[in-house]
Amino acid sequence: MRRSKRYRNIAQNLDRSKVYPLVESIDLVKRNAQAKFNETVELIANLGIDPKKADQQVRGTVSLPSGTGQTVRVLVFAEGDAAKQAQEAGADFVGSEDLAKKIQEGWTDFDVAIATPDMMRIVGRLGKILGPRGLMPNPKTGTVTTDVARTIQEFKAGKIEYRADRTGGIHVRVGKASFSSQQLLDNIRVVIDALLRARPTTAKGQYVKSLFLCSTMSPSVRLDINEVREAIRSGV
Amino acid sequence: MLALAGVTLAYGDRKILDNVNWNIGDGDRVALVGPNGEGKSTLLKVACGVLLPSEGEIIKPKNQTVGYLPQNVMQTRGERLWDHVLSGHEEILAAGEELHALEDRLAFPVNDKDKMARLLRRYGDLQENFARIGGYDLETEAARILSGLGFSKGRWHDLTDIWSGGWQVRIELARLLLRRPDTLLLDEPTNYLDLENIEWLESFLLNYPGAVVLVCHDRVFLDRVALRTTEIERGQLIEYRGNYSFYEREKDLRREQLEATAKHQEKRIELVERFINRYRADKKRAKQVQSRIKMLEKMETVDVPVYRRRLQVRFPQPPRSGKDVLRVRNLSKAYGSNVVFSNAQFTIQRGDRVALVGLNGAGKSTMMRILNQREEPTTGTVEIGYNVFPAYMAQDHADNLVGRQTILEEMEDGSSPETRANLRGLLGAFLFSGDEVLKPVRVLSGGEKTRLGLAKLLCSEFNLLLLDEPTNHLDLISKEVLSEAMEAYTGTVVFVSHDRRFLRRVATKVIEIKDGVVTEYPWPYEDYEWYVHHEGK
Repeated sequence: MRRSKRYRNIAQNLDRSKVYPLVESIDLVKRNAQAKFNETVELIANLGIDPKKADQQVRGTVSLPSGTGQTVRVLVFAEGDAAKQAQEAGADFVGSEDLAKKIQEGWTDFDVAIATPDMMRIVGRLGKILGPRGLMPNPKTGTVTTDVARTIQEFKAGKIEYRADRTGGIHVRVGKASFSSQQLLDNIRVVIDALLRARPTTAKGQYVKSLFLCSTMSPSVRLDINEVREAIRSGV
Repeated sequence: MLALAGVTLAYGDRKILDNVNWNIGDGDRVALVGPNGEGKSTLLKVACGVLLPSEGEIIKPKNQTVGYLPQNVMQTRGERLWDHVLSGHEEILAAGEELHALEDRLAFPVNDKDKMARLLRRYGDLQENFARIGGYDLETEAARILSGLGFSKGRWHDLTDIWSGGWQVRIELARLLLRRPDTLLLDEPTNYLDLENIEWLESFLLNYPGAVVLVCHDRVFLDRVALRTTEIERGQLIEYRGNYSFYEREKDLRREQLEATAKHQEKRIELVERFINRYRADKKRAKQVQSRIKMLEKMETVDVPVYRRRLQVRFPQPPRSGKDVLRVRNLSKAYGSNVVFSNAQFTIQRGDRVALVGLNGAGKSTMMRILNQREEPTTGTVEIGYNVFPAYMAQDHADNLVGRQTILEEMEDGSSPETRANLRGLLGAFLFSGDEVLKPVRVLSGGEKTRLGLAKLLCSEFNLLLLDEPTNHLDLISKEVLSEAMEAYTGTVVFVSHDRRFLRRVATKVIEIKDGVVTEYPWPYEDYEWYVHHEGK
């Protein structure tokens, strides 16, 4: 793939063989985010799990203390009182059959889908559209719930979902390049902490194989895993 | 991973596989090549467990799945295409049903909070498992595969009964590809595919995460897909670390090396023998002579395998026909409301080698039958020129062979008393020699049946050859020989084939059937390909 001049310039000044301490890497990624928009900062982890095994799934949600820096569009499948609560809590789209129909016709302009349990009969039909996009409501991530108002507020405030893909890789957005270093650090700390806690008991060998930090359009920076672990433990 | 260790399979005293070892690693893409009837399909059947070997074992890890596409598939009846293709995934379908049952259960309010929490936990687990085994991607993937293999969306819910033989193979192929087994064994998957679908299958297999073993007689396909070639010859497997072109080069090279070694050895033996003869009576050198004799006894002689006989096809010099061989005017064909093609207009002249191309089901075989006057057109005429004697080989000619008969009897059936005397000679040219002509037709492999079909064709006098997929099941060398014979033939040929190399070599003119429209291109196939890629878009 041919890279842009901007990208090549940044990559030239980056030592790809080096591992960076957490704080230094945050500054580096912030400095490298030179595209003409506010780039998203992402944390990438390569985990030593076998994602084919049912008992080695890494998945969950985590609330970012500094938020994601993005407006999250929340869709709620609910009827009656729950629908009213959802409207009041600031959901962007609320409905049931009407929304399902719209989605079946190809519309997916939202970031999170939440449903009350009784709605799963309708939402279940949308599996082949929502499933591959990671938008399917699931009790494990708290998106199938009777308390829709609280869930909406949490997601609006910066709750995000993480899930290991088929290769054992995890990509989590941890904020924007415009965030202060401290804000990013707070978010990253929470995410890594959650990942470490989510370690499946059956996973063998080294759990976190590698960690990277990057922004939307810049090269990634490799983190020093041991240093990161120390930093999180001591609460820098 | 899949491995065959010390596998032997024999029918009577003929060993098809003789103490064979074969490893297929993860991500391997192996081309299995060899002449027709040498045991390629048998090897695949043994590898997937359909046939049990007489000796040896097949080793595969516990959870490893193996998928096998046979050359001839059984027609499935009474099922919808979509359901049948998905039915390979019992695990996903069962998980989906459980999930939906629980969704229905959740639709009714549960007042007990603990019970609700338990239900939700269970639902979460089921959903996660469903996603992990690919439940959410199944239908999208099925749609992708069906489109890629040429099934139009409007027909996905048709019954499987109505699809023709070639399409049955595609249905099974689609079902197999959707299952994504760790090892995929495909026996001539391209036989009934159109070029467009062959190219799609190529790219699908190139990105396939598991191992693929291919028996295929499309050279271009093999070259693009295979990373490794295994040749089967006289019950033994020979490995080549490259695609088909590499195999051809390497095989020649190895043979040359072997010949050189054999020659060198011969020279050496001659020298030693001369020494022995010269000093045999000499007492002083008795020890030396004895040691040389021993050396000769111990020496392993290098055997150069004899060249395998090649198919020998030469079409006889045809009686001269009139200049216009076939004149087609306003030809249309419809089955009920289904119009296959309409208003076809073309003339085939003496010496033309016409390729009839188009997608599967476009009406190529129908056109061939009409040209051969086996079927009546709905409107229009086919005029056969002066002094034209057609000979026709149908796509399904193998179905018309009588299984009980021997090869020789089958030939005798269709021949005139004058040609009967030469039948054995003719069969010999088609590689049925000696007692082989007494084999019953039902035990023949796909390629052998095609060879028999071609041999039968030559029993009559003709100057217009109408061949519907003559290259199906033929091995690569036989295909080359057939294309040479067709190139050298001075009569007129109309043929259908999906083999790109064969089309490029033989066709001097192309007639395309597309969406019911018949278009004549008076150019060789390569020019037609260029035109379709550049102008057609």
